[in-house]
Amino acid sequence: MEENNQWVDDRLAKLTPEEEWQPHVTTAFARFEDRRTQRRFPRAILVAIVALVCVATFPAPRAFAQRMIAPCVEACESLVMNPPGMHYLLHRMIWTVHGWMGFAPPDFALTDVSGANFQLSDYQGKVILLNFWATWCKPCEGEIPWFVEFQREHGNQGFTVIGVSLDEDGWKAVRPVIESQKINYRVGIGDNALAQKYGVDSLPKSLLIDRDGRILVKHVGITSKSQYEREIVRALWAELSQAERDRLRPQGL
Amino acid sequence: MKAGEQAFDFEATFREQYQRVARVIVRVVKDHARAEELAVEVFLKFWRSPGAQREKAEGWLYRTAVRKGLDELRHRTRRSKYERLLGFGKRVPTPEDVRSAAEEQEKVRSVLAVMESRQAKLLVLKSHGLSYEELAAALELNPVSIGTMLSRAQDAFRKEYIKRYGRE
Repeated sequence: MEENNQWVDDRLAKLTPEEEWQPHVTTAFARFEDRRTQRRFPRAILVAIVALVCVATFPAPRAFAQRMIAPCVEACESLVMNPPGMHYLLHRMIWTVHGWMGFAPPDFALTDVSGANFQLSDYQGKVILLNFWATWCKPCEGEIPWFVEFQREHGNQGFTVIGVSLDEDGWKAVRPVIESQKINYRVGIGDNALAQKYGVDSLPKSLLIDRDGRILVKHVGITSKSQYEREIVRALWAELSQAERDRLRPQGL
Repeated sequence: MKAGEQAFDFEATFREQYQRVARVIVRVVKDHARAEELAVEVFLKFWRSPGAQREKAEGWLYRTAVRKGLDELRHRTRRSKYERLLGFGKRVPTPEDVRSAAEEQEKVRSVLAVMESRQAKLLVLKSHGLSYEELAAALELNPVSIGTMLSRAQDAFRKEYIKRYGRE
């Protein structure tokens, strides 16, 4: 055993460097300092870029991001008690990134109750509230008076509501509702293909589209009127008159 | 740095330990210039891991140095194997190659490259002249079991060496 160990030690001893080999410490330290102070590309930025590319490229993370961004915006807003101007800025910043990632609403062409054709792209440059609804959908009916009011209040500020009814009976069912509710915005009748394009699987569904043609918010199911109001005002902030801004500015700011 | 905590003199440690670290590495990688480069890398890592800059710095440095050296050795062995397999650089070995491959040193290195990493580390540091206590500290092993582990490592080395190059 001892012998074996000695044999191994002898072999390994052959690796011993020559005594005269003296690595130069000062040179090495200079080299060390050189390497240490070299600017390295920050890893965090690299990771962020890769993540962003992934999110923008692959459908699954993109869908996830889409779902995540809206609550993030809400959380930011509740945390930062800023004047609405700042809100708007913050909102825009986040949604600009959102827009870069390509979340633009698909265009469509419909016919309104009077028989005139219109397209979503006709309203480019306006803030659009795109509402999917149907006459048999009770909650949708509840929202319509609000939309009428929004259209009346903000219609001249670069805002418009577009209703897309998904009724299978067509105008026969929709026309009486337009008349009884006194709908003052454009309503068209959509089909399944359009509903699919927008991922409508339950009603009502509303999208707020900003002036640059990006989806700002999506609401599925009934949402409070004040929520809509807040979002519309935010999207329109730059267009509002000073008096209106003062009126909407929260107390104490 | 908190008050009361003594400032760690990095430069002094560097000057004190650099040669040792480089000599541990040169055992394994042969090439002096490369060994010096790797030693600098060890210190870069040391500088970036504040946890290592304590009284156990010496053990940490030995451990990292020997690991760096063995990694390099393994990497080189693997690369030359794949290069051979893929037919890159298919060249006739020069007499210099033949001679250096036949050298005892290269034989020992090639055995170390294929051994289990912990055993190889033990052997390299042992041949560097570390005592059992120092070995235990450097490799974070139980001092009681060092003797057994060392003799196992030596057996493994002997076996592999004989398998490759026969009994001499």
